[in-house]
Amino acid sequence: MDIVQSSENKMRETKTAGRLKKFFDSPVSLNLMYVPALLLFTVFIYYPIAQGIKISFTNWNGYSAHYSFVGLEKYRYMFTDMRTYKVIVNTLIYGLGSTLFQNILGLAYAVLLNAKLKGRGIVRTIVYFPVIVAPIIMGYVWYFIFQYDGGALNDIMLALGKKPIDWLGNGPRAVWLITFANTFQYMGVAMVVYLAGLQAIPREYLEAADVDGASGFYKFFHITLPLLMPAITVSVVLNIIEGLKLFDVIISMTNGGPGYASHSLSTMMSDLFFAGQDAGFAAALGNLMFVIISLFGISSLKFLRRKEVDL
Amino acid sequence: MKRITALLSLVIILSLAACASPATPAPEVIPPAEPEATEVSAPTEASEPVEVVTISVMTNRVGTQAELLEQIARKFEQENPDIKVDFSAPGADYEKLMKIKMAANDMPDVFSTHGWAKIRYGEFLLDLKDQPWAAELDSAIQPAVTDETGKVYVLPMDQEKTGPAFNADVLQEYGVEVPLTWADFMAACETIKTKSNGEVACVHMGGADSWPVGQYYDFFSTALAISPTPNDEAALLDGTYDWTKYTVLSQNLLDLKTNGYLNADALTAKYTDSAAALAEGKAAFGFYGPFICEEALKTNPNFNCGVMPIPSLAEGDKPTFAGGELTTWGVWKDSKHADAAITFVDFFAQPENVKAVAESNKVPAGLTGVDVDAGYLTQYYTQYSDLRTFTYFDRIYLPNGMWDVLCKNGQDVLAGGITPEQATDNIAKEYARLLDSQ
Repeated sequence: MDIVQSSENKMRETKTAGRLKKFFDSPVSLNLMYVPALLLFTVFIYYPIAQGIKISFTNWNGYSAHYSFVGLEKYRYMFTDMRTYKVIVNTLIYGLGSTLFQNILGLAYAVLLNAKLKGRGIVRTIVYFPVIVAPIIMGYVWYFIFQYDGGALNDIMLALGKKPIDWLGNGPRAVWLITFANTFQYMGVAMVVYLAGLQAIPREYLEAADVDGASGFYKFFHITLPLLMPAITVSVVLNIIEGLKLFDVIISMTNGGPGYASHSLSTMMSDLFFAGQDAGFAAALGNLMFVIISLFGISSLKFLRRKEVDL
Repeated sequence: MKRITALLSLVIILSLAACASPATPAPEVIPPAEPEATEVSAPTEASEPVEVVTISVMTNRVGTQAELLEQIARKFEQENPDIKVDFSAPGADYEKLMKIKMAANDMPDVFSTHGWAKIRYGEFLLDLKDQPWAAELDSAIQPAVTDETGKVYVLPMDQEKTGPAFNADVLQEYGVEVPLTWADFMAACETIKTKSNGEVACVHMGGADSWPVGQYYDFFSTALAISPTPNDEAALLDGTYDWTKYTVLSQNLLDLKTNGYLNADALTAKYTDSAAALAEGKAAFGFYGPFICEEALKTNPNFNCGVMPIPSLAEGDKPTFAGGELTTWGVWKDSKHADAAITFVDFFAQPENVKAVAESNKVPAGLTGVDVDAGYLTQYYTQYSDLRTFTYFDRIYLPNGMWDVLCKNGQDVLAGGITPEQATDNIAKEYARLLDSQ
């Protein structure tokens, strides 16, 4: 009796194991693996996006239990408010300006430090070092350099017999100084990406060009640069997205001031939500920022992908 | 393919369900973990286990004032062993934190209201009118913490009586009397500028923090529209105020700059720079209040700080002080430990605690029958005791959100980005919009 029962149990176990194996081998189980990630995305990405869209149609002040739906009023207000245009221009300067300078300087450093130089490891570390500093701290470092009273730059000016300047007190200049600070911090990332790209270029191409008597200028623009396009794509797209989202450095250097002169979309959004107590307007601005980042991110990706060449 | 479609459908349904559920637009914020609500202490000999209740208490006060409040809270714990206090003073982030907590309807059991007991926090506060101290409210603070129905929103331990702060030694050095009108103020600035060869700023403004610019507007709005007779109080209350009258405030601010009476870095200096400049004799006046004296004394313990009334703007008008809430405790209406929270507030209402809190801020007490020694500021309060004190302008006459509008437009005027007339247009437009959305 026991023998029969034991063999039945074994058969049942074998069947179960077979079924489990079949299940794990099937596409259903593979698809189920996506579920945790999709749920996390739903809770932390899709749900907030949906809430952001919903709030942009309300006059919610950001904390009250009461609010009402106001249709497209916040969007209408956003597009008629002069501050919006100023903030969009600033955001584009932060995004595109930082991207341009970071990539030019990053590429220059990468080309320089790809050569066999003494101490290049140390220089690479120095250029990359600001990346590991928290952006808010980096902003304060630059604030202490640019501040009027006791700032490092003005101390130098005074030592040279010049009058001190309120560097961050002028809106357009503050925007470019913030762009400079952001470039300084993140050009190390571009350098690392380009170094990896440069090291992936087969030496044979450059050696063949040497044999043909090509100049350094010709080799760089006709061999190195085209073959670096995949690295350029990665670096440019990442820089554009990060630059358009710039927040911490602005907060620590100018807090968006003077007035609204150096606000980006993200800092303005925060200001409208917490200080302006206009969550609807803040959400509308957030949605506009989402559209702008998507537009620039996708179009630059498509444009640069077309320029890439296969090795 | 069908399976993938089914899977995606499931995710979409889940996300839609999540979107549809909340009745109020709650922001995507996870509130900080609350302490254990209740805990049961070890049973004592032949006695029932005592249920220990923990109440969360949060204040916007910082530094020595926050330390004092915590000391009193610890004393309260000793006298009430069945109530524990989870005390926190998050500092500059307090206001943001409270807005998030209000949105999530998850407030601390006891919290401070920093001037907004009625307008902002009113719907979250328990009525404390039945507490024994409610009958002792000082008449000057009563309008700020009670309403026409008799509801008492908070316990005011002290109350502001504030105006611009000044360096008394600088004024003495240049032979300048405390100016009581705007014309006298400008004359004083000219004297200081001329005699110091521009080395001493007449007014120091920490404009990078933006709120000091708002403080200027708040001080002088009362002098412009409320304190004179006749005044515009009724028009401000019914929303019909003629905002073109307000241009004079932005123009006066700009005059301070163009005449060289402001610090050169008025747009990029911070509040702490103002305190240091006053303490070091690099500036004569600051549109702050007595609180900057304590900050400045950290830089220079010998700093001779004074507080003056807000100079009048209208001819024939008298200078005034700004007043209102300073250190308060309110109880969350949905608190699970409301009884313990009220006991906590009652403890702070005891005369010795009210006195300690008021003296730490060097301001009058919020309850009657408590004598406060305001230290070095007593002479000024005595000297100007006959002057009127008005509640901060923005707390009564402006809709929520206008403070930031004043700060930013003032900054823009100083930066030369807009004219005083454009600032007025912006302020009027935002006033109408915010009033409408209230």
